[in-house]
Amino acid sequence: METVRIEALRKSFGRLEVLKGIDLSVREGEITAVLGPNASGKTTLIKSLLGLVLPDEGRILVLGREIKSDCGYRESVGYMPQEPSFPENLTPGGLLEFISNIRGGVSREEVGRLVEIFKLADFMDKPIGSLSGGTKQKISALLALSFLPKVLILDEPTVGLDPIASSRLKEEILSQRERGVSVILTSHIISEVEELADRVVLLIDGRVKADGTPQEIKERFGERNLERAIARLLETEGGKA
Amino acid sequence: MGKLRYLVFYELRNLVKVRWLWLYLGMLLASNFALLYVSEDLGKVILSSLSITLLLVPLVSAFFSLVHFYDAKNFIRFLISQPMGRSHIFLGKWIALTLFMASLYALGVLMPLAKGLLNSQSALLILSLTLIGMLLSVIFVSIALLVGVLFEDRVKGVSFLISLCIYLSFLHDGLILSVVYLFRDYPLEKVVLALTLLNPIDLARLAIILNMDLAALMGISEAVFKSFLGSPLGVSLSLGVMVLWVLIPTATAVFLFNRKDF
Repeated sequence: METVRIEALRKSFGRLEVLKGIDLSVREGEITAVLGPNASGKTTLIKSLLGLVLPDEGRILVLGREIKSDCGYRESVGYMPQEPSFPENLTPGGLLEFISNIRGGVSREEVGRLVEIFKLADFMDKPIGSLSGGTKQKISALLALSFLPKVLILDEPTVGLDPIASSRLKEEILSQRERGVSVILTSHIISEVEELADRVVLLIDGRVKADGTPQEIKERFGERNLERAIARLLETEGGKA
Repeated sequence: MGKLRYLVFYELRNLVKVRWLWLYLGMLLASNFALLYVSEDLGKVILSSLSITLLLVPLVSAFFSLVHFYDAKNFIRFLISQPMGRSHIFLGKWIALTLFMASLYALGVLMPLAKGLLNSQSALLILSLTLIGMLLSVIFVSIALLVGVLFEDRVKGVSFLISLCIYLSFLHDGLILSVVYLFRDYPLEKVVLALTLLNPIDLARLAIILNMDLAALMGISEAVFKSFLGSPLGVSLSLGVMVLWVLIPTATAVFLFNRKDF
């Protein structure tokens, strides 16, 4: 089943056209990695999905609902930003309570499980300002996963995490897929993409230039390594890594 | 409404923890207590307090609100990614800031001048001053949030806001005087009236001075308002336009916030 559908999406900032007609669909229980060089439109695409950027043309449907004037679809979306920025004087527990008031309820069982996985129990009552970057990133993962989302959007999810937390998060992403959650992630760590993604979408200059499984992308360029296959594509397209 | 209530409550809880705002309350309390200590004439105290209000309230309300808005920008992005309408997110911040800034002002004036509330004549003046100060707080919070929405760049936003505050506090009156001086041979009442409406600080001063009916302290704007409209209508008009100074920037900011790319 299709959970996210993007049709002819266009977005410009002033004269700069960032998205030049993106068509994409994401299926249930699929991990899709959106890759591309800097300024390829990845962030704008992710932000469009979240309602942070308003497209000029085209439409986005999440779970069959057009997102243009309806923020209700975000009840089914979990989001983990690249650089979490939460109010420094709030505790993670307070923040979770606040977000659960907005989102309308949270599964205590799920929160307990995630707190245990990310070893956050000792930090739940401390001000966020006193926590390390890695712990803030874990809290961001906790917030994204606690509300049992059907679509999970992860922007460079393992950046700033130690190897143990990073490995746990990756396991959790894979277990979310088993539950039928659609995961859209961006990452610059190609080994991580190979480990997690069922599908790779390569954006260059605001257009989808490649879309397939990591194996298909490698075969297309006759490379055994995904990173080299992507580099080959970028070289042929004249993109900058 | 439920989500908005949670957001306002959350914002208020955050504002209570900001030490700078308690320092602002301390300054208001200290200045009003000091004025009472220096003079026993409540009318003079209220006029001096008005001068402090016109100088301090716009600058503190606007500057703090803008910096607070910029500081919260990443969290605003996070909130937009949650199932919550953009208008709610903006209004939550606006309601909390206006409530808090206006309440601090009311406390800063009413606590020192509480004794004057027992006398019906001075009570009216104290309550007028409080109302005007609260309204001025709300106006400058609204203007600051509009500037925050308009300017993505923090330095540009803060610079613009400080320039605007300086213009409204000092330069606008100079402009009116220049116009009156340069075109003294022409009937300028309507022009002066229109120029006064463009400055909420002038309107605040006007409302109090017309209310106190102090001819000696009337400037050009106050004299024009009094001769043109009379005191009661002048006070009503200035209060009405001050309300517009709240509604127009707020409505514009909500409109732009709903269409902004974050």
